[in-house]
Amino acid sequence: MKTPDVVELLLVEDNPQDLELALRALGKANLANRVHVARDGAEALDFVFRQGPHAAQGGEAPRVILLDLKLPKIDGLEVLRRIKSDPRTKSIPVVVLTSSREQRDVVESYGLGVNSYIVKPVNFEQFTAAVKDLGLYWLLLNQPPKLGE
Amino acid sequence: MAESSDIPATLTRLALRGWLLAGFILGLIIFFGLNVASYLTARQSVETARGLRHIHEVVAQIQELRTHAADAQSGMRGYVISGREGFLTPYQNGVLELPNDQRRLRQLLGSNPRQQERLQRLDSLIGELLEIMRATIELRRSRGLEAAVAQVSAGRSHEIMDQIRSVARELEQEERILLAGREAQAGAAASQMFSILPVGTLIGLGLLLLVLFFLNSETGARQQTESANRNYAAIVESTDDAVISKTLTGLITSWNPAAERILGCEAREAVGQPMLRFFPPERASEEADILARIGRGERIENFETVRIRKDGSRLEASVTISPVKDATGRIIGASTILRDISERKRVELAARESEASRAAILASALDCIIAMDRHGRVIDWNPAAERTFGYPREDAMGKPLSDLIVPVRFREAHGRGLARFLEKGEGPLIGKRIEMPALHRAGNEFPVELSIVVSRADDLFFTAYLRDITERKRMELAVRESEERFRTMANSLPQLAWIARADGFIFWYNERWHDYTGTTPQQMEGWGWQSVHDPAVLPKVMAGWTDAIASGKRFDMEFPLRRADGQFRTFLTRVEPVKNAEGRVMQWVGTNTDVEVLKQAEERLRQSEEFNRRIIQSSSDCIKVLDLEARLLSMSEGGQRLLEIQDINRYLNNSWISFWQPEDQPRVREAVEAARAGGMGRFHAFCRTEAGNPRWWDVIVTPIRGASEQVERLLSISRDISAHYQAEEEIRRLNSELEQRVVERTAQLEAANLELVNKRAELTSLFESLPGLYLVLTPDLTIVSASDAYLKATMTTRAGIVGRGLFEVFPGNPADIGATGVAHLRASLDRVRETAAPHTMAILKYDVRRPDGVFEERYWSPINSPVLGADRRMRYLVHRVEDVTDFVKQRAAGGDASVIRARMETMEAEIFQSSQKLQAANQQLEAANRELEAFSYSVSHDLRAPLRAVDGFSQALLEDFGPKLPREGQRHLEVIRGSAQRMGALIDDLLEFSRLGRSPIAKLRINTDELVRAALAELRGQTAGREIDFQIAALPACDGDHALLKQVWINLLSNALKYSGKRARARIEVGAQSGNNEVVFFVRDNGAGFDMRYVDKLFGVFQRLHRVEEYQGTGVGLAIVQRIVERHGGRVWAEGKPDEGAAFYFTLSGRSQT
Repeated sequence: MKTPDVVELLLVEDNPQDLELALRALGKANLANRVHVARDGAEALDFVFRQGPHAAQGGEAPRVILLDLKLPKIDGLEVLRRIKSDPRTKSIPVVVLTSSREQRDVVESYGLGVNSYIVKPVNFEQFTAAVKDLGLYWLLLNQPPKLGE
Repeated sequence: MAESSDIPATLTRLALRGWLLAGFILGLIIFFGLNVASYLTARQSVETARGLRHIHEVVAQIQELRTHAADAQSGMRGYVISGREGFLTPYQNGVLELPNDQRRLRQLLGSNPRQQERLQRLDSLIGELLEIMRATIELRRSRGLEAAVAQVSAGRSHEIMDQIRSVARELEQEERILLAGREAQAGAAASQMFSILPVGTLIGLGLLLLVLFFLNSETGARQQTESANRNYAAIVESTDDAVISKTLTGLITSWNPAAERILGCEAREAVGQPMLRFFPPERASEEADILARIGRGERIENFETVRIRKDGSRLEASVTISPVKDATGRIIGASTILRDISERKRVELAARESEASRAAILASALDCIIAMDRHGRVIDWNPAAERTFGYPREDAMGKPLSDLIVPVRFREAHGRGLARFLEKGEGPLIGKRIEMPALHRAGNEFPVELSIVVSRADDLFFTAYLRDITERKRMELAVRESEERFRTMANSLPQLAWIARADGFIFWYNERWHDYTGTTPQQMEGWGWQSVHDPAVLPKVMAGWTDAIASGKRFDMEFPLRRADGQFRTFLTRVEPVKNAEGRVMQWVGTNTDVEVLKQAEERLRQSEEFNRRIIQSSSDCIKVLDLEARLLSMSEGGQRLLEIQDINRYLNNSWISFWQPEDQPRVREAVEAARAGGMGRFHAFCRTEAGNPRWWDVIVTPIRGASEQVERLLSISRDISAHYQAEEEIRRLNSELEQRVVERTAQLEAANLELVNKRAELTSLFESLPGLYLVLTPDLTIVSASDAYLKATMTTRAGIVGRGLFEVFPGNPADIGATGVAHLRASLDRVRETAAPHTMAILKYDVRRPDGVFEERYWSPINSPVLGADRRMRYLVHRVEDVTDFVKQRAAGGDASVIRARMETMEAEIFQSSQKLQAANQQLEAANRELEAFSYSVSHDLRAPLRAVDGFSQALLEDFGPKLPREGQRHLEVIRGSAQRMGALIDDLLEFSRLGRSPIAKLRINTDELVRAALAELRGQTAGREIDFQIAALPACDGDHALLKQVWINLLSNALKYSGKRARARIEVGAQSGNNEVVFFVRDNGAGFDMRYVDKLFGVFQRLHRVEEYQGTGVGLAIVQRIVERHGGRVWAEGKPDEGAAFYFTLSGRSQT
């Protein structure tokens, strides 16, 4: 799941079923080998900012972050806010991948500078397609910034 | 020379070096001494420290010895008392240790005899003590306790111990004394050292610094000297003079290249030789003399002499010899500068020889040169003299000069002068340059400049130099004349004038300057003019003037100058440079022109012109200028307008008199004559305008005088007085009419007045006697009148209140603190004034002051009404009032008030309770709303996740294990997935529906045609590949929320498409019907339709009239439509027939349609 070198995609997801499905979808798109999984908002921030257990870790920032909104410990919107308000990380594309169709979530996410907002469909094929598309899109088209630059 | 200058420097350096070396060595010695001293001091300190340690060791050792002795003793005593052998251990220990202690003590105390003696005492004491103790122990063993105790009690051992202690103290004392002595010694040495060390260090350092400084400065001086030496050397090398230095004994020490050249001897050959070698034999004695003088410090300058070269040839030389001194001023040698003057001598000789050519010079001279012998006879007469005086040389030679060129009238004087000179050797002419007239051969006189030189060669003779100065004289005269002319002119100038030198020094002023400034030439000379300037302006003037002098350019400036009486006037100053032929400034000529008058005059003129122009421009009169023949020269524009003239040119230069009517012309002519004579003419006359309108004119004709006060032109001013004329006419006519009218009107008025007075009295009495309480007020609340009843009720009189302010007459009751009567009444009256409508007041407590000043409690029920005039403006306020005091008092007395109060309180309590309930309900509602919102949010998030898992894992199962499952199993999984997806769709729709109830509506003007097109575009997926007959009419615009209305159309159209999906040819109709003040939009299809019996279920949530297998859908679409339409304030309804089609209608709201 995790390679020591380059993490291309950070998947932040607390629901184990959704996580498995998302990884399955990424696997189908041959994207699963460079995925780091964070199970809550705090873990995601630790990984992105190289804090806590990730403090010693160097290397590049993830190239894309797939972020659920409803997360334990630190809420997804808060994670988004911190990533987008830090000059070191604000250029990492963040894709919100959530069940919520609530307008206020959408509006707030875009207000915080999210790059895409995807509502997880119930239909698995659609879900696979969505994950695959956005994973490919952001990985292939975006040049990553280096953390600390 | 180069070396000789080195000698004193070297000597100085050597002397200095001695001092430096001495200083340096002294410094070193001091440091060495200091070192030794501090070493010794340090050693002494170490010794002292060692002594201290020693004494501590001694004391410790003594202590130890005493301890061991005491231990032994107490062990012995223990044994004596207890008889137990165990107590003897300290005793035995002490006995063992004591000899060691003694030995160590001996070592420590060394060879001091006093201490050795004490030590021996101590040894014997210890020996005795040991003996006693041993004996005592023995006694205890052999004879028992009693004997031993007796032995101990004998006290000898105690005695010995005391002695041991005393010896020990002595030992210690002695050591301490020794140490103290040593410490004192060391302390003294150290303190001595402390005083010597800084001083010594300072001196040493000072010396070294001094040495360093001298070394440094010597190096600087040396560098300077060396550089100077180099310069000297360069000069010496390159000079043309021989520079030779020699010792006081005359030995050559240096020899420069010029010396080599001049004396033909190389330096290496010459140096070391005596200088005498280059002296010619006849002058050999000079050297001794020279050396002697040099030895005395004298200097020999430009001594012309002869030297010989190496090859023996002679050399004329000029020699300058100076003594050379060392740094101490001692003369150590001489430096010789020798110049070869052979050439000069040769030239001098040549000059003497050229004397012979004097004649040639004479001949070629421009001046007349005439030589005479002592008798005044001409002995030489040069060509210039021939030219000047007209006598050829041969004619002049031998003749007395006076006969030739001196005018006859001066000849006698000339002869006398010559005689006197010959006699006394003095004369008026000799050696002077004088001007005098001379005579030409032709007989004419002309001025010459003459000087006579007397020469006494072999015999006395005179040389006269004469020059014809006719031209110069003429020039001088011309200059003088021109200057005179200039000065005369300058003095006659109206300006102030002056002349300055090129450097700005003013040396002449004209008289006017002095007259104006009241100064004398002495005061003004040079820069004295500054005193008549305004000090505030002077710096600017100086700057300008200095610039001009520097640049040589003309200088213009305006500034004030003080007049003799102290008043300043402005002058325009202009300074012109006077340049010579080369363009150099020779002089400055300045003039100062008084422009004060000019300025004032200019200003006055400008003002008066301006004034006139304005008058003429702004005048409504017709202003004309006429010549003396009364021909029109010009007319003001206002005049042209008055006369309605189109083109003034038609009238110009025509006789003005002829413009008038014939019968008026004599009067016009008369006026013209009067003006021409210098007076004023005036007449009134009639004249039509060009357009033919009749006008009466008041005309004045006055003269215009020229500079010479002569009448040159005439000015005519005509004023249009037609209106006056007409008005006067009218007035006259009216006056007569009016008089008649006035008589009539007066009579009428009197009658009316009488009637009015009567009526007024009637009305007043009527009003006053009305039964009601009335008060009439002006809008500013002044009382105008009151009914008798009012006066009675308020206990006032008419005279007492009319004309006074309402609240002045009826003030509030000061005793009633809570009184609101005044405020309420005022508010009501204000309201009536504002609204101009009557106002009925509630019952009012307004206490009334009795004539005796006591207030009576009163209750009133007033009505205030406005009285408006014909112009709708407020004229009066009528205050009608009813006295309800009795009624109120009765009610209060009857106790009804408490019942009312109780009821009111009950009511208030009820109201309060119900509002509390309302609030609680409201809060519950809000809470419920919040819960609902949270619920839907959670539904949105959490309900979908398990569905996704169901669907996703079913799919995964199919993908991973599909082939292993039987077909039925696969189908089951598909069913599971379908159900999950359907549930997802249901949740989404439900959320959408609930959201509709919450989100606000943003109403905008909407183009319905475009909206429908956009909705259809989104439904492209449903229309693709189908044959559909759309009939879409033009739709009116509407007001509503764009996104929500689009949803309405999408849902309705989507429904129509869905239910017509089974028709081979679907027909969908969209349109609008107007009527009944509203617009009804509709969507009609020819699809499955529905049974009108179930129409009420159509718009319910999740209500479906068809099976899912037949038509997809969640059953929320129409519910959403209904909710949106209702939120817009409209209605929605449907018509349908099974299998024939359905039609859905909606309105938005009656008002918003067009």
